Amino acid sequence: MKGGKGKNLPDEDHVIRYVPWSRLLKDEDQNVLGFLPQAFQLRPEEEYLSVNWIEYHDGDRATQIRLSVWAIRDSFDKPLGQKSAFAIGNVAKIKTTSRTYGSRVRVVHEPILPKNPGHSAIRQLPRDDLNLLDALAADAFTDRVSNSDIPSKLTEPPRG
Amino acid sequence: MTGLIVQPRRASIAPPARIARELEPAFSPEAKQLTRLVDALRPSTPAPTSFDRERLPEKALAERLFDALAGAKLLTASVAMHLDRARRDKLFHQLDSLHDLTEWEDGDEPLQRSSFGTFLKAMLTLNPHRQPGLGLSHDGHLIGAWAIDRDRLTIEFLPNDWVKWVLSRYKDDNEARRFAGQTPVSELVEGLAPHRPEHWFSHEGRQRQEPPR
Repeated sequence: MKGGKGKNLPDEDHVIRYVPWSRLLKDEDQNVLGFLPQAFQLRPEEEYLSVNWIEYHDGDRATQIRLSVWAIRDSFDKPLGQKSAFAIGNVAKIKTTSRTYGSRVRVVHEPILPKNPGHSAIRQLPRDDLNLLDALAADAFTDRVSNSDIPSKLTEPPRG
Repeated sequence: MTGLIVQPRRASIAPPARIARELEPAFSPEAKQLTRLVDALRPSTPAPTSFDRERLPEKALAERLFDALAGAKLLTASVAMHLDRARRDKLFHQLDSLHDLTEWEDGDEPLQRSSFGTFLKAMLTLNPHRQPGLGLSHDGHLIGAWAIDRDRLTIEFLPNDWVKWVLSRYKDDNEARRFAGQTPVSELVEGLAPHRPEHWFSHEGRQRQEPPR
């Protein structure tokens, strides 16, 4: 297994986070424009922000993302909403963005076996620093993938 | 560059959303009337935080979502004379979408009625030409957001007439200037004024907006 519990993810790698419809940045006509700062806000009971390490999986970029999304889907008790999305950010950019706002976050591998071995955590993230949350939403998590654009396992053609 | 503007929190009980006498000239008659109407619908309660939740009876999720929507629509009806039909329909469509059971995030709270009351007051006070896109926090606080290119303004409507906001504007050096604040809704206009909020609220900005990805 790559990585290892508690190990820092490489700076050049990327993480992906599930964002429900309610935390997507939209215009008044419901066109999705990005992510709200609150998409990266810890709940009171959370110690870290849950993400998945994209490069944990082998394959090209599209395959890595698809396998990451499947693992995230498997870790939920019910199907994710069709209008939800996933935010993708570079590890180094997440750390430098956080440092700009006075926080030294760690991005570490926290596998959840057996369903989600690529699960990772952004630790030491302040709970309520709106400037930082806005910067993560706008400057660090810069790519977006719609849940509806990733096929389900059942419809995936066999490999090889 | 960042800024943080936090008004001193008041003691344990937040006063009703009366408009301070010195600020009255800044508010429209509609905003003043709305303040009276919404205040009449709820008792005074403790000053809020982002993590405050209303105590809701244990009910099935679908029923709770329905109740939250019904409460918001009833509150809107009480100020319907200040909202045109198209604006009200769009607002209801946004609220329905946020409470779609198939999109619902487990552990989230439905829209808090007191947060929605704060939202209505803010909208009638700001009277933006462009309406916000809406979101919902974990704790059931409505979130209004405006985006022009990369510049954003996000306002979280807390219970009991408080708002928390953050805005970012990008300059020629491609770096964002960010400012955040927390104020009573009656001081929102004053809090945003130095940042030229018409950038987000006017239709001129929208014409420059990038098409959605």
